[in-house]
Amino acid sequence: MSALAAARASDAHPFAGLEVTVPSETRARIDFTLGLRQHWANTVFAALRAQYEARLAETGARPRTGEEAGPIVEGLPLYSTFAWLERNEQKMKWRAVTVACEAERARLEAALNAPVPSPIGSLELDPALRLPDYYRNTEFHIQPGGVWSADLNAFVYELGAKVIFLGKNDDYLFHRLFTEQGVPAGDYRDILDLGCGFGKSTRPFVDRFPGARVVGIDLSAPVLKLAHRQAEKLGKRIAFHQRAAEDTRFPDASFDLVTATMVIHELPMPVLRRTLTEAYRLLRPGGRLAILDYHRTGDPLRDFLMLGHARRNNEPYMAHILRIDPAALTREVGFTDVALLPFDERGGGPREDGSWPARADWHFPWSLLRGRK
Amino acid sequence: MPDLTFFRDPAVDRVLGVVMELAEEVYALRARVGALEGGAGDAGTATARDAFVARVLVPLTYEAESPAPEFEAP
Repeated sequence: MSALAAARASDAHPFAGLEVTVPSETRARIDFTLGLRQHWANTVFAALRAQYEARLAETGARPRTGEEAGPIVEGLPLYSTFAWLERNEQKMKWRAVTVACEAERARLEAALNAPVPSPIGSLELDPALRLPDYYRNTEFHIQPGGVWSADLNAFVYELGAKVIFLGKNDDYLFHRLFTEQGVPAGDYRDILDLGCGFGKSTRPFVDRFPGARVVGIDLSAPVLKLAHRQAEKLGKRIAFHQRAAEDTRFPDASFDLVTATMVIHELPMPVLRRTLTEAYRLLRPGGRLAILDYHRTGDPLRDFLMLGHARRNNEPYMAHILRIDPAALTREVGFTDVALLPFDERGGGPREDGSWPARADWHFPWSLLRGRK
Repeated sequence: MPDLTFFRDPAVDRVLGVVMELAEEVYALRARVGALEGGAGDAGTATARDAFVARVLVPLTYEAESPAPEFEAP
């Protein structure tokens, strides 16, 4: 049975494996925000879609892009409600998960900073690393203090990341799917995961490529400490380093696979270009690049809402990735065999025919960007 | 710094915030009462949760079942 099938078959508690315990009252609050998000993604989005279609039928308008659809969508009676719920459900979620983590602050902080006995992997922090201004100045995803400013924030982020996927990413199935279906088969010796966070995107590479050296880098010391701790607990050999994706300081041609999961949409354009250039430098000839991120779908309503999501969810550079052609940029820095494909995160994986999954509900437009050196 | 607002009258943004806070509180209290009455102490099933949220939020999206008739101006 593949790791993916095994994970699917498991019937774990949604918060199993997390360091923080979630008391029942907090669980109820988190559950409520999850219910709110489900209702928003299903019922409210469907009603907004109905209003949008009715408005097009009334006016004969035929917007071709998200930008063209903007003035129409903004004039719909439900748009304000949709937008409000998106931002404020997220804020309610952070409040609920922060309460759970604050209640155990002392224990969690001590656990995070306790040395891991006999580690099979490693952790290298760089207290001298200057965090870029764009990173320090943005509370990405509206998380108070971001993921980097305090140890507790790593736990808040980990718990929040469980909730955001509407309960559909328990045991991080999404990341396993990307690892198993988004990355071409190969005899990889060295794998680098850029912006690895607390390691949920990095760990599946150890399972799929057990002979490879797996390395994860991130800017945030708290999440790297959590990543190291969780990886060791799960018996995954990973080397974590506190480094910037655009300036990793690893030698030329030292990896066969460079990946980034849910990272590049947070990067300003100059940083994105430098990151892709750095990935190219790090790869050996024939090495692979695999990036999971967002792209526009061609559905003007969804694309406009996604552009607005950038603002509503404190992701100020995300609109750039939706407006440019990331495949063209990837070719520009030297990659060949570049492809940008819709990615069905609910089980289908990359869609080679280029079509987006037909769904009635709101979902993030995940896409796979891949290339070869 | 004021947060983003989405309605023409920002008071609506604030009132909706109050309503959602209260709804969350009611949901948490229901879970607590359920536990005190000998339930599993769990927040309940996803079905019960979604039904609760749908009941609270239905006025935001519903089509009236008995719409007011059109009146002709006298």
